Amino acid sequence: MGGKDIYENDIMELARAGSRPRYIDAPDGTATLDNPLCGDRVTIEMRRDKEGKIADIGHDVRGCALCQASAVALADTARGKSPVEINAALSALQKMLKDDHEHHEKAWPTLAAFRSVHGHKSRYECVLLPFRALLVAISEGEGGDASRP
Amino acid sequence: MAFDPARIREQFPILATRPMGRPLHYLDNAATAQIPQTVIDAITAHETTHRANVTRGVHALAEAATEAYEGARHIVARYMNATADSEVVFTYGTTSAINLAAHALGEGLGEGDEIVLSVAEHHANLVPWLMLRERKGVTLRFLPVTDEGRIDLSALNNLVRERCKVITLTHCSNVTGAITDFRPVVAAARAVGAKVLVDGAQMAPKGQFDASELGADLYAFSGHKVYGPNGIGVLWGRRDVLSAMPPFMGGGGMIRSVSLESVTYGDPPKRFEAGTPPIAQAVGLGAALNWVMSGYLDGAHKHMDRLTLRIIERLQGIPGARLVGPANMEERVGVVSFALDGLHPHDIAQILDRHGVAVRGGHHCAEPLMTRFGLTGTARASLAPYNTDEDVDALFEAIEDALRTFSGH
Repeated sequence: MGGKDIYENDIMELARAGSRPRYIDAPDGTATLDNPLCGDRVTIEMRRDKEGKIADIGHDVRGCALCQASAVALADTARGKSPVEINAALSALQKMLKDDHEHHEKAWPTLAAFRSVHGHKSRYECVLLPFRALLVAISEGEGGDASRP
Repeated sequence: MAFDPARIREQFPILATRPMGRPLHYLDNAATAQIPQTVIDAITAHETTHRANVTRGVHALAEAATEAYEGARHIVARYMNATADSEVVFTYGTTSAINLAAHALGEGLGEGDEIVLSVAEHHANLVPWLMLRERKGVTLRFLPVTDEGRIDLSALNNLVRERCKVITLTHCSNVTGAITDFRPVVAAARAVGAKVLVDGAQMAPKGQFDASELGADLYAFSGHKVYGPNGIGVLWGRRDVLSAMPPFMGGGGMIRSVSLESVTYGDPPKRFEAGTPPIAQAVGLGAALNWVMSGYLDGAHKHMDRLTLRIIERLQGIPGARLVGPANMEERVGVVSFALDGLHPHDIAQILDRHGVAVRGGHHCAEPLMTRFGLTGTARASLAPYNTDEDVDALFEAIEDALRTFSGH
């Protein structure tokens, strides 16, 4: 059971932005993931620059406010980052949700909005799903195994 | 004496607790109902004075445990007016009961054989049949659902054909609350010699019933929705139907004899109860059904109907609210699913939790039904006899909060 109110202003602002789909031109990879617990579905598109870093991200979220907010935070977090750095961001987000450490929000300031989700375990996957989808989209773009990370 | 929910509430210790410091308005009874003290006491008494494995032991505790386990079977038989205790198979829940039935009924089926079910089925009464289709190549045919959320039985004549072997339907939808009229279902099944399996998970809590009179060949329900513990369920079957069914799981307790060359199986119900059964859970289920039959719930249906109607009518007054299910109390139970325009059901349920209002949000393990209504999920308030007008008031105060929180979203 969580104790804090999830729906703080930061999350609600992100969610409002994430409620509308955003598509990008000529994506290098696209992935759609479902959350089997609730039936939510996230599609993430991504395009990479010459250095292999994320140049742009699109999203289409059929999901809750947390999932919508996360998709927008993902775009802010991942732009200009390498796949290794995005993996690190996912790990940081997982640890922040689990442990509520301030350390992680210093490293990834956009993700700080999700500190209020700490303790609401049933909602962690709502936040993590767009990040997981991006990693699958990257893998797909590289022609690799697009299995769920 | 008029039904008084306060007399019921005082028997459920959890209802006096304050999770996270908030009063508890428990409206998630379709998922799991709460458990009265008398059932907790029965389980505790069993585990502290009669705990042993059943059937084969000769010591005093083993005999006492066996007597308690078989006593629970007798109570279940009485609850559903079975002609014999041996018609009652203990399982681990509705899902395992239906899996047992699908496996056993499906064993002799193959390509060209047909199973009729509906778009409204819980995954527990859908996935086992999808798996059977993968294994055996049977054809599944689906009754549609009306805009009101009822299984459209007018399609029976077209769907139930000569090769139909099983019709398996919910007795009451866990999403819309609509009760299925089994008379035409049974008539259609009898006309082609098909078996009728009933998913009674949502209907069994309403009180004593007669599965045989309903026309069912097999009837499944769970303990945790009838005020008992989880980990226990029932598959009732007509004696001739059970006798013709092969076993599902193999192991101890379900055999007549075993050698390295062959095995012969016991008679029902033991044939279907391989391994150590959920003994204390069965004892708890027996205590729960005794409690339901004790008269405490006389008048509860009228009380619950009134509360259900209050919820429906108040929902109808909210702009952007959509009821998924019948809008009147004709042939429906106190399960009310709804959507609020622009709000995700998980967000609704989360904000309701701020107010101590426990509801469920999501697809309710009925994804095809959600697709039918063009939704990914709903919020669902589901009632039990211990619910009150205060619970309904709290529900709508919380819904107002959700609407405020997401205004302009």
